Amino acid sequence: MDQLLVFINAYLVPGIVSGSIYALGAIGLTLLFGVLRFTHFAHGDVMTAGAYFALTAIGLFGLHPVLALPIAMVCTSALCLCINHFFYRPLMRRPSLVLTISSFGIALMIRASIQLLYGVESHYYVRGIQRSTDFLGTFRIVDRHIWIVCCAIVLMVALHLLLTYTRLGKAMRAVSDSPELARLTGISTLAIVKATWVIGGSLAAVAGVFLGWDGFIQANMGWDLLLPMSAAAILGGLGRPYGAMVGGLVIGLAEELSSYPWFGGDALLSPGYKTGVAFTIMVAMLIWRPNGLFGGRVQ
Amino acid sequence: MSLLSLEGIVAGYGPDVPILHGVNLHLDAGEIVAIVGPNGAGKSTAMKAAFGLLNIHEGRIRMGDEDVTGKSPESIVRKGVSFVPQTENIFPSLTVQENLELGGYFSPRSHVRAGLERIYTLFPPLRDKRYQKSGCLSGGQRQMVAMGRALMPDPTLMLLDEPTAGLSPKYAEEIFSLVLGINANGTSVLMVEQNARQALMISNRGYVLVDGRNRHEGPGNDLVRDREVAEMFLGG
Repeated sequence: MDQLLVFINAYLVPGIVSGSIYALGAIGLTLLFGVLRFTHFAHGDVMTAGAYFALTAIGLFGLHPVLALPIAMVCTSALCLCINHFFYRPLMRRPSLVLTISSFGIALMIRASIQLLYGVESHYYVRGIQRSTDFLGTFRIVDRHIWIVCCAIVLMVALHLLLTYTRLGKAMRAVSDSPELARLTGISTLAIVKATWVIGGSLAAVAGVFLGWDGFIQANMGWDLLLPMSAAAILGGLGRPYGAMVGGLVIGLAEELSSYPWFGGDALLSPGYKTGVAFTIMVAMLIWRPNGLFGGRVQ
Repeated sequence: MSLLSLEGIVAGYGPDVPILHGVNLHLDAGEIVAIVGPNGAGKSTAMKAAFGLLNIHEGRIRMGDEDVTGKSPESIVRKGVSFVPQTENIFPSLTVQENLELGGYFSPRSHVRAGLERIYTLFPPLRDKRYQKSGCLSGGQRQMVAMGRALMPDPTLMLLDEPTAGLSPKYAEEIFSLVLGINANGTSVLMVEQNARQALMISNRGYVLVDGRNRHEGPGNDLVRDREVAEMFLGG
């Protein structure tokens, strides 16, 4: 029983939590890839920006991190729209590699701006011992973990409803399928691109806030997450939001469970190799199933 | 006044190297007009030029009394003109119904519902497959989805780029009779076709393009009988 408790509290729950965070980031990456046909390497730093927007809001108004989410989402979306307008849009007609490389530049710019404004030291949303809730009298789950997982589920369900039932969602999927035909159908690509930035940016902001809430806020936090997020997006098949949700969860769980002492008393892998697990999964996918687990489309 | 007219169009895919060297054509309300000609004659190019997909170097494109030269496809489609490309004419990962709904992207909601009903009546096989991914359909059914999508906004003019390409003769026959049906419902049709003889037979008028220029024009039946046209590419 003790063993099971340790497994759930120290491995499974953290796995699901980081999986939710990866999923939220990976959805943005994959949507942007579908609509704009390039890999947005600044997505991790967009997350960082979201975390710092929330930090500012929490510092100013003393909000609970969950209440700071809408503020972070709005500010991050605005940031993404500005970046798109001034940097990516003028390059839109160039080969997508140009956009990809320029997103590296944006990543550096966001990170450097944050370091200038907030310094390089770590920040925290909440200090002190965290409240936790007991389940069935045995499982002890920190409240923030419950919040994170629940919010992630709500957002993913909301995204599902948007993609399936709204005109905007269908148009987004249409542009992802065939931008040329979407144009002939009268769908304004420009509007869809903006909407994608707002959705991708908002989800990245949430992921950033959750990441900061679960640990600390630091200028490199998002950049460090780019690898597992890309792994999640590739695992699910680029351009497939549902794949990214599953991919995120799989990568998060794989990372945490890889350090569980499956055989004997020692960790299977030292926790230091967590990132390596995501990397290994990504490389294996690229070799054997480059279209993702569910057979996405690679351009 | 013509529904659509191309006047002396010199155009290409870029700012130089024209493919069309002065094409003239027009289409009146209620007509079916076919553009035929050998491979590489610029037939599809002429149609794409009308839909704002090309770089127009010289000449004018008018729709009714409006000059639409240089207008984008997004704005032309809002003037009641639909375009069905030859390839990549459906959204494969979307369901049949979603494809059709997108055809009514800028129409009011009630309009979309009525439109769906109209399309399912016109293409009964699509009703049974409405929740299937359109990418899983057969070639003929994909063509129906493509045409259905274009018909959703109830256009005054429909442009069809080789609607029977790659289809079996039976399906091609079906598509041609659909074109007649669509036309009978009040939509004018401009089509580019490889099946030149059949296309000209159902058309009010036809244009023969060669090397990006007008070569012949006239009533469809006359062109089918024209000896030079026949020798050139109708197969004698």
